[in-house]
Amino acid sequence: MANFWIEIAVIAYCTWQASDLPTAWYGTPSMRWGWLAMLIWCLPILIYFIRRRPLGSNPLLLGMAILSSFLGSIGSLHILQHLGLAFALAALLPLSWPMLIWVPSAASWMSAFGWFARFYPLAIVIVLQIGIALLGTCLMLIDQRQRKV
Amino acid sequence: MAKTRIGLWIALAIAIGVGLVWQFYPLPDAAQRFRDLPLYGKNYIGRNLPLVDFEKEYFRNINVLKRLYQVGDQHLFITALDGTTNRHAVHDPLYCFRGAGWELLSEKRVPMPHGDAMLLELKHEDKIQQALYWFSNGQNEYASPLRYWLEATWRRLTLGHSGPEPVLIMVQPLDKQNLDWTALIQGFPELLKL
Repeated sequence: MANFWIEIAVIAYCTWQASDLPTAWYGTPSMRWGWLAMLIWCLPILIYFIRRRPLGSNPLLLGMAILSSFLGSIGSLHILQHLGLAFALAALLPLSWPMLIWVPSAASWMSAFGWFARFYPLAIVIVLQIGIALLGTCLMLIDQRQRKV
Repeated sequence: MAKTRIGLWIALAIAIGVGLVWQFYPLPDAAQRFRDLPLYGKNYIGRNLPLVDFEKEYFRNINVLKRLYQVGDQHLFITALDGTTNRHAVHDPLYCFRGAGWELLSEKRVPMPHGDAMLLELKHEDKIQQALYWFSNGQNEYASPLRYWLEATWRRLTLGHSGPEPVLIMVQPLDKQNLDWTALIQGFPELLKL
């Protein structure tokens, strides 16, 4: 349990750096369901812990989380801060190949998603958001089931 | 593994400490460029406009230029935003227009003396209007919000040594639907020095 402290500390730091997210979700019509995309995206983590699996140690992702959030903080660029949070949360799970899809699918809950999808109608943006979060999550859940983790 | 975790703790402490100190570094802003924009010249005359309450709240930490100008026979509303102390207050103008309920009818890149700008045609209820915007560091004009974010971020990472702060400039006609941007640039060349 003592080894879990660095993970908690990094998640706390990255959450602090990404604390603009709720305001972005509430204040931007195209990101109104960003919170749901994030909840869907976090399902592999929630299910992993519900199953009480041993914590994976992922210093690479933790280091990327610190670096990304730090650069986003001093550079004043939200997308880096949000990416840092995604890396920090992903570091709670053991490395696996579906992470190559799941981690990038975190873009579905980042405020930058609304900007990249700005030319699409609102309904399409929401479908894309939830769809992308679901895609990454489903791949992770299928992999966890197959590996029985 | 223990060494790795110690390394992560050190990296985290440095990130928090340096991050806290970094924000106190006084980055040079664009206030002087705003002050240097003349109110009158050979082909134009203008006046400052006060910020309304929600603007005072939203732009409380940033330099704002808000003026009415007559350039030739055009009456124009010109705003400029300097995000040096709050980069997040400067958004992609198109994103803001859409958020405010304007529908984009068309957009076109127009050439500027040192780059380009974006000319928008927008509709809100029964009103159709053009708007012109560009980002400027006082030397180049460009229409890409992505370039603005990268340039502004790089400036902060280099503590201002990469160059002047890019600012957002927007021009909207007051009493006509269309904006004659070539006449604007010819009649008010000082605007490009913002």
